[in-house]
Amino acid sequence: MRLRLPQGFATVLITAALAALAGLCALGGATVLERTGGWRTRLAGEMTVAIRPAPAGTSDAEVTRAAEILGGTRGVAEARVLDRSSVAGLLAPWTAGARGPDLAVLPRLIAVDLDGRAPAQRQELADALSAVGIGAIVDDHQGWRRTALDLRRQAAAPLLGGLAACLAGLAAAGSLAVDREAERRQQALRTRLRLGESPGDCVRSLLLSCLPKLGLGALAGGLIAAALSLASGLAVPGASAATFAQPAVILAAASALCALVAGAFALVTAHRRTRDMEP
Amino acid sequence: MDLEVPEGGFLLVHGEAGAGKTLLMAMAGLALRPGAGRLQLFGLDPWGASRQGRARLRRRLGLVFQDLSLIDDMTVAENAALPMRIAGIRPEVLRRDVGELLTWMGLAGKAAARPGDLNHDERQRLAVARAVAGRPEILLADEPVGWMGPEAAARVLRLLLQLNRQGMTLVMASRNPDLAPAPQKLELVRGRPRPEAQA
Repeated sequence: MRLRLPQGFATVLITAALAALAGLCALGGATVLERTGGWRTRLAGEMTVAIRPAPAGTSDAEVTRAAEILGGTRGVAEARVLDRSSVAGLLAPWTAGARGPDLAVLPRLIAVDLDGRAPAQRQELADALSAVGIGAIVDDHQGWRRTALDLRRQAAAPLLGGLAACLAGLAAAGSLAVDREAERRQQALRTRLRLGESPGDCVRSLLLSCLPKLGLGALAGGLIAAALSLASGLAVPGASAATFAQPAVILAAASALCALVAGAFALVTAHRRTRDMEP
Repeated sequence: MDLEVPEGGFLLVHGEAGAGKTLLMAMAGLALRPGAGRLQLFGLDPWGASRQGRARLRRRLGLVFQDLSLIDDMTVAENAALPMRIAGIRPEVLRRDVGELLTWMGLAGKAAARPGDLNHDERQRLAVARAVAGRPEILLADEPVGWMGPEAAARVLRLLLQLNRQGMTLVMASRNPDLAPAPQKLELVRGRPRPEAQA
């Protein structure tokens, strides 16, 4: 038995697949931009001060004093001394998990939260500590911020490229759908034009048979992308309905964009085909 | 060739196959653009008009194509009603007029059939029905009764002549020079009017 698919099924299927991919790319791109943007903002609002270890070891009193000085510096909101186990946790990737007596040789760190309105500069913190004779290295997280920026570029570029490729595919799908429809109804359309049907009505009749399929495909693609992102999002601990509000808006916008691009190219093709068929 | 058909006139173009009758009809019906020369319809230059303007001019014509050009995925009634639908005639008027026309053409019983279900005689009658359905000002009919039986042909010709008497300009092309008593006749030989061709 030969399976006969409804006419225009391929258009709906291709549009849905491309719209789903476009939605996932848009969602991925937006997530990468948002996350890396958040990291960069957070990293820019903090600095880490490492107290140079003295030959006889760094005393807790000296570290506390350094934190007090930093906390009193203009442009600093708060300075917190990190305890040894927190430092060990932070540096674990580089210290191969130092424990027990090894912790004593690790540098003492102070986390500095900057005042968002007028943040202190790295050199100001270094000067404040050296003025009282405390040797320290002030890290303004430039390296991490650059890494976040690189990550943003590396991850967002292919996702946005993917979105652009899907949109190009949808443009082709819109154009091909009208082309096929015009081919199928060529004799009828030619006759109608010869009988005096206006080119605009001819374009409208072509679009009326193609746009619903393209719209349905874009809608189905958006729903598929939503289902996939919901399934992966629910696996994340702490996810709630509110977590999905923003992705839903992004997917709706992506689906609308897909339908718009496919529709616009369908319109252009319908005009071209009608012009070609006119006597 | 210099040819003018007056309003309400009747011109019969005749000649052998390949003489250029269909080409002349296609140009008069705005299906082909003349490569040279000048064509006027209703005193207007159709190829100098906009696409919309040309479509408006086409709506004032009735066409019987040699290849019939019926639309296979429409019913007989829908095919016949097409020019009226294009002209935006109200559905109730359209249904009534098409019903009368199909009855006159002997196709009333086939209104719901598809053109593919008709024999060639019936298909040709449907093509004529469609051409006259929109009450055109000019009817261009290329071999309008070529495939019909004598009775159906006489009936269709009677209808066309009656419409011509009512003021419709009629241009018919046929291989038969005695198809109808036309006051104006043009014989084509290899694309030229006969006296010119002889010269």
